[in-house]
Amino acid sequence: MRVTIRSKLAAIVVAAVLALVVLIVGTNLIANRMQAELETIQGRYLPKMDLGPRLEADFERARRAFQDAVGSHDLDAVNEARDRKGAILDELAAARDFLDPAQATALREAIEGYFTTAFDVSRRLVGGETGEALVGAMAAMQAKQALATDRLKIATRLDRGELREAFGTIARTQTTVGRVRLVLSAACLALVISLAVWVGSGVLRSLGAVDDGLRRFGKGDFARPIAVVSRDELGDVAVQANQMADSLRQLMAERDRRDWLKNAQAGLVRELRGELEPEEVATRAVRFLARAVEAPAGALYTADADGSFRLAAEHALASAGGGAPARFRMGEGLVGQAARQEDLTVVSDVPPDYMRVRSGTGEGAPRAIVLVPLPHASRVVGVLELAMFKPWSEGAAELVSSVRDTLAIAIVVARARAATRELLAATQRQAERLAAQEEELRANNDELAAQEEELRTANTDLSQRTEELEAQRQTLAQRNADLDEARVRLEQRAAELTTVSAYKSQFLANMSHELRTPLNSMLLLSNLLAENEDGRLTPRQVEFARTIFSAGKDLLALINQVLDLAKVESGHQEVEIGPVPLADLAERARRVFTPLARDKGLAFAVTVAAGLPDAIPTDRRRVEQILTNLLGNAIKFTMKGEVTLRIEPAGADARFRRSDLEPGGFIAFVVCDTGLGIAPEDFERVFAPFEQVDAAADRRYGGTGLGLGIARELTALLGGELQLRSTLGAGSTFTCFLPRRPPAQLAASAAPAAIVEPSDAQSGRGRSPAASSPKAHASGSPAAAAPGPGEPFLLLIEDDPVFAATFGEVIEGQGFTYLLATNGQTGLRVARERRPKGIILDVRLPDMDGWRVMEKLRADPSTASIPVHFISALDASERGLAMGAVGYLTKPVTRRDLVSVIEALVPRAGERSARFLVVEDDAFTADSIVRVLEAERLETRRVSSAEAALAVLSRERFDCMILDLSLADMSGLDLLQALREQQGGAAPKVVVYTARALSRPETKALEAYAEAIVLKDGSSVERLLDEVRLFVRRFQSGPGRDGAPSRGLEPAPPDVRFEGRKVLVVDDDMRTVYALSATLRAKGIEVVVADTGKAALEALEARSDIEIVLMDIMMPEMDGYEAMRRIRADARFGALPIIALTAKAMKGDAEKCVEAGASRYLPKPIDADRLLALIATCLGGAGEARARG
Amino acid sequence: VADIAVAPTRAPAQDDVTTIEVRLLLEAIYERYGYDLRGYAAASIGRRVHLALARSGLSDLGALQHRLLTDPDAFVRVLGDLTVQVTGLFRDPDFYRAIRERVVPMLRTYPLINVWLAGCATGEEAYSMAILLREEGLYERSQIYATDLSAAALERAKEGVFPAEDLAAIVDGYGRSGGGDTLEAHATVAYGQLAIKESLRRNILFFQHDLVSDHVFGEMQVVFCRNVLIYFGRALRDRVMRKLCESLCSGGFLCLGASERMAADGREPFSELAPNERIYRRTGAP
Repeated sequence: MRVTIRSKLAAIVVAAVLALVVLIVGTNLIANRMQAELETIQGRYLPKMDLGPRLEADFERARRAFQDAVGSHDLDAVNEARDRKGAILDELAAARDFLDPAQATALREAIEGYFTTAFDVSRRLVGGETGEALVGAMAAMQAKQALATDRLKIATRLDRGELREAFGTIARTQTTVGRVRLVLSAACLALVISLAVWVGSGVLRSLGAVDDGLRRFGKGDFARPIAVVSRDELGDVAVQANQMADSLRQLMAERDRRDWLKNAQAGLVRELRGELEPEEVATRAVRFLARAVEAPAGALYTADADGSFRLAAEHALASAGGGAPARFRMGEGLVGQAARQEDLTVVSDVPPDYMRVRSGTGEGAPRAIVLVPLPHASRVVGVLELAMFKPWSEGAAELVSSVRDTLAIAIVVARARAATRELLAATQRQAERLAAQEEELRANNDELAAQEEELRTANTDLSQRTEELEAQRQTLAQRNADLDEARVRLEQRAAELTTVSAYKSQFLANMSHELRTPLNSMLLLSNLLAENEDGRLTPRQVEFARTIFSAGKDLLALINQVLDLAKVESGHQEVEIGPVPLADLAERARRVFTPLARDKGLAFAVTVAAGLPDAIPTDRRRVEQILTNLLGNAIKFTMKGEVTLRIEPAGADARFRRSDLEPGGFIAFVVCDTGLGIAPEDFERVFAPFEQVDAAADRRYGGTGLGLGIARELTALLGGELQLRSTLGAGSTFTCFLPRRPPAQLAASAAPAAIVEPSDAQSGRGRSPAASSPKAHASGSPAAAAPGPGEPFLLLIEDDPVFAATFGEVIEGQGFTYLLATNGQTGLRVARERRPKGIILDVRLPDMDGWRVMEKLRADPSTASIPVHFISALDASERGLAMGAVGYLTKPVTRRDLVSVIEALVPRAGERSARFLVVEDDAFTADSIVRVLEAERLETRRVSSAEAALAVLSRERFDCMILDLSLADMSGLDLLQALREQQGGAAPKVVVYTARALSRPETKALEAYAEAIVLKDGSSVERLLDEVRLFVRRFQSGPGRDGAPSRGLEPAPPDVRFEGRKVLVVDDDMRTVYALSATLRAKGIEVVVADTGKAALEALEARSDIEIVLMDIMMPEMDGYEAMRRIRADARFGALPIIALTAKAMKGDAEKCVEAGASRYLPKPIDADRLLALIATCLGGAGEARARG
Repeated sequence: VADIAVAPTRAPAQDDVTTIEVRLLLEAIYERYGYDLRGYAAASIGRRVHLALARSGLSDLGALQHRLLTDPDAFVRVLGDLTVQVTGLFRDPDFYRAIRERVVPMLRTYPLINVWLAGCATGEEAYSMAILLREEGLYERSQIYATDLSAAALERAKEGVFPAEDLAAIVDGYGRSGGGDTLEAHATVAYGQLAIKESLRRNILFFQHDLVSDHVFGEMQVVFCRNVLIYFGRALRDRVMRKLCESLCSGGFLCLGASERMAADGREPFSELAPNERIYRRTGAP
């Protein structure tokens, strides 16, 4: 019901008026009652109050009138006085109403009585009566008067109680009126107030709601309309306000929507600003739009060149199980379909299993799928797909539609840019590649240029040589003629020489015999004399006798020298190396030569410099012989002054003619004299046998002239050199340099050719026997000296004498003898006649080239099998090898090259050929292996079971076993282990030859026993043969080059520090592992091996007693750095010493190892001593740590 | 080599100064970073140094040297310029064919095959060899050690993803190398990139290794050192050659680049296996 505020206000007014009326009426009613009460009091009590005094006064006057009338004795007056009685009674009668009737009556009677008496008395008195009757009447009259006065008083007396009651009533009524008035007023007031409150609160509430609503609206909160609390004017206001708010809200929503759209568009543009990759554009666009339209997932497909659509970006699809399909063709699927259309495709009723969008808190099927084709220039460049949880809204549609162009353009631009950049990058890459390739080409060019230059140099050299050769050939032709002539003469001379030589030998033998016989007697006797058994000789005489003995011995030695020289010259000299104390040499020189010098009046002094070794390894007899010769010579040729012998270290300024001698390793025996001196041009001649500088001196001084020659030869024989410095007339100094260490070739061989000196060869004296004897071949005479028949030797066909001499030395250094042929013809002849072990062939030879020599050697059955090695300045190895040479070496060469040539030619220590045991159960395979081995001329035995193999091996010694792994009775590995146990290091080397596929661990296990593992696959026969040949070569080169040492480290003696210690070796290279294990085991260390970092960790886990780890760095699976880090991560191994072994030696590599946890670092190649020292340090530390812990 | 390559038209004095400067720069690099380029062929390294100088934008080698000494990052860039990284998948197919025909039959007889690619650059050669070994059924028992001086190149090598710009050339090379499959069996081509399949990377170990200063690290059946020695000077080349030789087992194969010749004088213990493809075989015991 609608109650307006106006009606409410009216109701209040009415209520107020009504209340007022009630109030007035009420009070009036009460006041009326009070008036009546008052009137009662007025009407009753007031007359009563007036009546009393009036009646009394009347009564008094009447009494007086009586008295007066008595006094005046007037009877009339007495009648009159009595008439007064009527007036009083009338009055009394008039007051009847308000007098108590009984009392009024009594009063009346009293009054009447009085009057009657008074009248009687008064008349009597007036009548003059006197007497007693009168006095009695007078007394009665008195009594009557008092009675009337009393009664009057009683009748007119006001009743107090009644009056009080009347007033009480009035007062009560007054109070009641007041109360009623109060109550009524309060009630009215309450009514009015409550009405006002009721109306007011309703209005206020409505106003509040409206106000609140309007405030909210003002703030833009239109979410709640104003609640209409009352249906009055304010309610109307609220309704109006709500309507206004609605309008406002719509307006604002419209504005917001427009803003959102604008912002979204701007945002997208902002998002796509910058140089982005197409993928980035797509990703950002999808992300942005999905967020803008509140799509939980989305994807963007872009058109590829082939017209299909490729997934370029997805948003939150990865979580949707499998992600989005990567590609759609035009028209294929919704995407492809959408691409065909212009407009958006909205699929609203998506089946629940269509796709699900998942999040961490749940998943759900989208409610709508929206596909937006992105057209650009009448081509759809992409399709945007959005999955919606919410229904597809207008706004979203508007937004998506409005940004289609933007997006399409962004994609196109980005792709264009990417394409440009890609092109640019590709161009740059290509440019860089081209630059790098150019550099490579240039480097190649440099290389080729260098090679060309080398060739050109060689060519120039060659053409020069050709010219030289041409010239030589001409001279040669000339000389050949001369030679022919000379040869005839030479042959004659040779015949003569043979005769002379025979005579000479005969003579020497005879003479020495003839001389020795008397000398022996002399020595015997002088010795007896010196012993002075009779005691008759003076000490001086004894000394003389000794000198005789000593000199005799020297003489004997000299005679021997003559023979020696012959021997030295013919190459039959031998040396005995032993420690020779220098003091002994000095002492002997003093003893022998002091008397001689004294005899000649010369001073003789021997000094030994400080700082020399006590003894030097050399041949004592030879050194004494040299010193004797030199000192004897000096004393002989010195007339006055002094002769000194100084033994001192070779000065740093010493120069040797032999280039291979270094001053540091030599001791100088310096013999100085103040004699005649020798002219420089005679320096050579003094060394020539049987020659003296001055023929006259010969006569004057006597002697053989042999001494210096022998001294020089002997010095050379001992690995030293004899030098001469002299000035004519100012004395001479002969210095004999002898090595501190025994010369290698002397220790190795007593071959005469050891004293080949290239410089000697050039000196033209033909002193070098090895060089001269083959030259005898050239002249047609047979070799007079080395090598003996049947003795293995090498043939060197070489025309360059310097090179020949050098090579000769190397050959001898290797323990072989050799013959030198300076031309092809001679070479061929020697090869045919003497069958050398091998031939070293120069290509460029004076008479025919090496190729022809090679052809002829191969053509002759007797020389066809001799191995030939080419050495030439000419680089033509292919040709040489094609001709069947074992090798081809291009000059210039090093000493090591030459050694390898010899090794290639002559397998060393080849007295016994290697014995092979073939363990193979397949007869056919065994046959073929044996055939292969026998073709190599190797001794072969074959067995078909492991048991048989062990049996044979326990009886006989084999050098190599070729083992098939799949034997019937025992696995190959077991056999190898059994063999190792049975024979230890003496077991033959093993080549495993198997058809089984081997796993990595199997291989590693086998590698511990086998030299090589050959799988029966591919070129296995060839490989087997390779391994066999390799083995044979090693075998023949002797035990020193075989086995563990060749693998790297020298084994060391056991050491208590290491006994029983446990070391983990981690390395994937078996070669290193073997070498390390061998070294460590030799020290008594227990070695555990792991081949990867992982295996190392497992090993550490399995064995808690490992005390140190040797860790390689570069390993497959887990490298050393990682392994060390993991080891260190385990608290148990925090203090475990780890030595990193690495091939890497660059700056910072050590630090890297230490960072990863290595305690120490050792670069490869590993030095055994350093490694052991490091291990000792680490173990020491660890030991202490353990002791402490 | 250097003296020969010097162009005669240049003023000799100026040239000497440049040579000294280059040498000092290399010395500085060695002292500071431990990379020893001093033994490189003077002509080639000289060109590379000048290229690096041009790219650095500095005016002279002195300034470049100072920058290298004070700025390690600059050194990394310059090192990239100084080393030449030319490689490609199945580059030089004849070579791979020779490997297939001449070397593989021998490799079949080894239970474990270690292959060392010294100077592997960005790894294409390593992957080519891995593909080849896989096709020959030897991959499972092979371990390829691919080493290079450049850490940056190794990083790329480990990724095994290469630009497929010259895919045609790669496919052609693969075919001519005797590849019996399609290249897709070993690599995935997409987005202009060629990615080697994961299974082929398993047995390849990429490691930084300096042929100049670092030692050999294992016994190898095959050593590739192709187009590396051409950048080295004579003495360094000999030293490196000794290292390669030391690393090879007896009968092992050494593969050199097209212009790298093994001295035919028998100085090195090698025999020619396929001289045109520069494949040599180690003779004699290690």
